[in-house]
Amino acid sequence: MAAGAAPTVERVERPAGEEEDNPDRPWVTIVWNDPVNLMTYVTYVFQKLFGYSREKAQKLMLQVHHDGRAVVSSGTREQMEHDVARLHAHGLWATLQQD
Amino acid sequence: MASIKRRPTGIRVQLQPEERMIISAFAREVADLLGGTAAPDPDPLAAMVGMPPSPGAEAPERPTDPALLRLLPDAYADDPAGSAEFRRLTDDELRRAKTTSLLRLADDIDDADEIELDDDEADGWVQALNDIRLVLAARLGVDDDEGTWRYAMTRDDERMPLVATYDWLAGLQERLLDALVSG
Repeated sequence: MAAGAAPTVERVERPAGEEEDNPDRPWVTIVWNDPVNLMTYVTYVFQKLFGYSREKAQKLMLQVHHDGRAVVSSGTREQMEHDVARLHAHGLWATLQQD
Repeated sequence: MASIKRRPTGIRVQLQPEERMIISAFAREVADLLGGTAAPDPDPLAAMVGMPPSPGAEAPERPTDPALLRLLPDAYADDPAGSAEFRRLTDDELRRAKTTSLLRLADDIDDADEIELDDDEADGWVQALNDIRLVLAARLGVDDDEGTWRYAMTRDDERMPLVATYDWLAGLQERLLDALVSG
């Protein structure tokens, strides 16, 4: 995978009045690029953990590779914590945040 | 040179004695880094029902060793308190799972120079090899895909043999993965 930059916080401007912790906004799991994990391995892990097709897993892997990060799943905070734990178990660099 | 072949009965891996020695030594070293043995859960009942640690349990410290931090990363990019809480709930299990895979790889390899793996076993090997590579990469300062770290190293850098091992393990992991997904 390509250049491994440290995760940085991306603050998104929100319209005034919108709740920061809006419970309706889903949580997302993000996988960050790192220069160690093999592209084939990352694709394999996405297929194995999320049941994604080879095409979808490869597309996400390439997004991580080219953009430095990709959202790989979304749902409740608890679900995303579960996904992040499983990704860490597989050695991928993953974090969760509210979308 | 290692031979990896998919057969109708499983994935056959043949390794040279030197290759076995290297993999086994690194697997045990990374297991040590993670805290040693694949010990049973201190609270067997909690382990059985998959209970998280009690609310009073202290959060384990965030690793200061970059290699260990790469194996046990923060779960939140911008929330240290959230990351600490996540660590409190998952650190133990994550260390145990990784240690178990690493020691299984080392034990498998110590046992015989030719071994046949089923898909679950091969999956465990691939994960353990990945963790070894993550630690080696942290030690080597691998920080970009263009290999700048490689060219920054002088010929007499004492880490040179590690570079060869790192590259060789990548090839081995890739070939094992190829065999695994071709099944």
